[in-house]
Amino acid sequence: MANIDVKRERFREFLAESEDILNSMGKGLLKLGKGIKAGIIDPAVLNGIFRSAHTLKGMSGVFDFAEMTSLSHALEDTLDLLRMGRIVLTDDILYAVMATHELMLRIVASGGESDFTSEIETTKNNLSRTCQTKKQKTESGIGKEFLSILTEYEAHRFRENLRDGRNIFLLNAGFAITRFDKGYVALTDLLKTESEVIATLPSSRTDREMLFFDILIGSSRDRHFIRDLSGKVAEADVKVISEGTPVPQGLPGMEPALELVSSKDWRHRKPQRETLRRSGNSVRVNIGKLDNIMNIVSELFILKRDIASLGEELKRNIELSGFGSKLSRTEKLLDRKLFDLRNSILDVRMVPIGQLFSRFETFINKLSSETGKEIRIVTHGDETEIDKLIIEELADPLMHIIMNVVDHGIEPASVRDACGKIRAGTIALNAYQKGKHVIVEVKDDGAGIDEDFVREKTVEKGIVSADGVKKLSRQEIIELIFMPGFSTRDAVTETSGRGVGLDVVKENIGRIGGIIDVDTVKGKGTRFILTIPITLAIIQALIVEDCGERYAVPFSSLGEIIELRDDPGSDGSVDFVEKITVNGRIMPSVRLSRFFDKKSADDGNVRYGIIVGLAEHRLCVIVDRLVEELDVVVKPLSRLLKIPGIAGAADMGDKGTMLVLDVPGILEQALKESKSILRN
Amino acid sequence: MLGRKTDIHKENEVLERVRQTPASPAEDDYAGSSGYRALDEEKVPVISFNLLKNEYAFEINGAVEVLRCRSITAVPRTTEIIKGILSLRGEIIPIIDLKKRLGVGVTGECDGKILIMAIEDLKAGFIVDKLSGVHEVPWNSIVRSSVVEGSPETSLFVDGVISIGNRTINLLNLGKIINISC
Repeated sequence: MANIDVKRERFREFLAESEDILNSMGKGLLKLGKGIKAGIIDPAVLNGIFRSAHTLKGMSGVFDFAEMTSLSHALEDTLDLLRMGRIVLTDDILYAVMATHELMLRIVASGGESDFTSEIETTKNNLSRTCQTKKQKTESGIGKEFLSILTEYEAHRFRENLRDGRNIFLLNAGFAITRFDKGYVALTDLLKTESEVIATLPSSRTDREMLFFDILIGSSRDRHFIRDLSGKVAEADVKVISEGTPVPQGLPGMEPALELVSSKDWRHRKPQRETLRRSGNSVRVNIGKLDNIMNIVSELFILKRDIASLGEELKRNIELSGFGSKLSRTEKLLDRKLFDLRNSILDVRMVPIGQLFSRFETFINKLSSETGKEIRIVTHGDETEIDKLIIEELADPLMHIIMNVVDHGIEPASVRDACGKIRAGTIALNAYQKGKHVIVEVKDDGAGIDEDFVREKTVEKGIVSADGVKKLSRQEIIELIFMPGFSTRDAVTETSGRGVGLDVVKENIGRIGGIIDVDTVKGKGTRFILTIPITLAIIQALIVEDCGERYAVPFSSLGEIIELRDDPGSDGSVDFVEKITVNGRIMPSVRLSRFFDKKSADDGNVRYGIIVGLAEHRLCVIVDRLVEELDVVVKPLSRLLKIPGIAGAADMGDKGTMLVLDVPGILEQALKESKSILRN
Repeated sequence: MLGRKTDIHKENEVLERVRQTPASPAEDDYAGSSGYRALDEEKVPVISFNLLKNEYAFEINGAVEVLRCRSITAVPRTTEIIKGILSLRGEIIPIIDLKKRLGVGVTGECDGKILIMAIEDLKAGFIVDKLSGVHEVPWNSIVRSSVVEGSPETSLFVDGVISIGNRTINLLNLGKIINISC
């Protein structure tokens, strides 16, 4: 039993690692794609992709994952041909490689559960078919003395540099034996900014204190420049092997903006002992383990609260008040440390949203080739951090939004031409932090949402009555696209229109405590704005009581709190949503127990109105009592329980569980009532 | 923690053994203590319990754990069949009022045991008056009857009737019982 568990655990780790590798491979492929268009192929990027395929092959071999092994093997072969320059990278080959990459992603996502045999065969055949075109080798007389000692790959790079008209230099660099490793890395890193390091060869020069290397580089810079550059970190003689002639279409110098091969990538003949140490100090942790730690932290918070009340009790006792004060002080310190602990764990869970965005780059490229629409993707705020679990929950909703945008938003190039827009449509993914939320925007410069069209469709589909729709404002009509059953395109297309509509997107965003808004200008484009909490792992909550039941309200959606001296529930209104004036602003209000269909005790006590809100939506929730502030870990309710207005429950240790309010859900429903949309 | 095994521990131990033992000859040390014998293909192990005056059973492979009664948090806006929720090691588990579900009565304050069952990863708890044992029942002795003692609702959820001596046990279909739309 245990053995099987260990195996499974390791297999899961393997899947997670494969996914990471595939993600970085995806980034590389994108760069490669851009490179083809610009006419420059960075060997470092190609090498990176090759290494990823190679690593995948090795790993999947260890796990007897035959599907992955055969696929990564085929991919590795193709990439090897490419990096050795035996075939030329064309769009066809790139698409075949991308298709392989995409299939691998799906295989990993299925965790080896589904059968991909036929797809693997097609993909492999496609790969080998596109690789038929061999390249003619052009041999020049230069560098014969090197070619015999270079590896095939190095020889290829040597020739490529010659072909591109770069100068070839041989640097003879010496380093003190005691720190040659650091010196070598510093020199090659520096050289890589202005040149390509083709090969490092052992030098015939010897010295007792010094170690010498011959470094063969290709650069468009001249000898003086290279000598001065290398002189910054090492003593080096620079010998000219070949003077190149600049090729017109090439860029001046190497492309330093592209990813450079990491300095640890010393290939053959590296003057260092072999090592099995891996670089980097990262630990891969299953997020479930972090959840466990979070559970413990939240229990500690509850214990801490008990200590606090014990301290208060002791202070009231005259004889023991000294102890009470001491206990309170210790409790304050404990509180601070717990807070630090909580934040450190949260910090571990955070990942930059760029991880998610980069997946869409490949995805949009694929959609673009499938639909024949030209689409450009730009991202902003990739570094914005958000909980790993939320990132995963965001992936599908964002995917569906993008599919909708590509299908309904972006016009075909011919239409765009006619409108005077640039041919390629742009989808921008933007992320930024706003308080305890992250705002994710999907913005396009497409056709925008046609209000009249939405109005017609919703009436036709019976979502709103013809009379009802007249009462709606423009924004309310636009928001009808989130209604179940709304699908504007009649023909089911490859991309969207398969039933997973924006209603599901909205529901899924709501499940992670987020809200979605839409903003559109006809003819100019549409912006979907997602307001998402940064984390759900542990949240600060205000515990409130209404009609004897306690609920936790997440701080993240909490605005002001007001005291209500007059009972606002007695204005004779029969609706469960009423209007209330707060600081001169009229907003809808709802008695919490009434929202949950409980009878409210009209005892005329002072009540509290807590203003909750997300994005620009506001609602006043009326409760009997504010109890305390607490850090709680929210757990989802069971699949058996889908309760509107309840996001989950918090484990309160010995004290059972407490329901946590789903503020977006309550907002949604209350606002819908207050606008009296769809009431008929 | 108290250094002696309570009945809850014993019940959970039995559950654990039944679930872990493969269909191979019984281990000697298990056989004596619990009356448990080897599984073979024709026999189905069940866990039985009492609700009011009747005895019911679930197939044991869905059984997860037996809990003593503890505080159950009521949830609003749901069917009366859901008694509430509790947290089991951080996992929120809905508690089903089985008496209500079977139409034989209503569970008041929990004073018996909570039997946690699962179908795949979907867990649910059932409040029962008393656990009555673990039995192995030959498949072919289970009577598939459409007429069952109890209420009309009961017969919807009963797969068959087991007779042990003069006891009559209704074998319940966990899947149907858990399938609550609310």
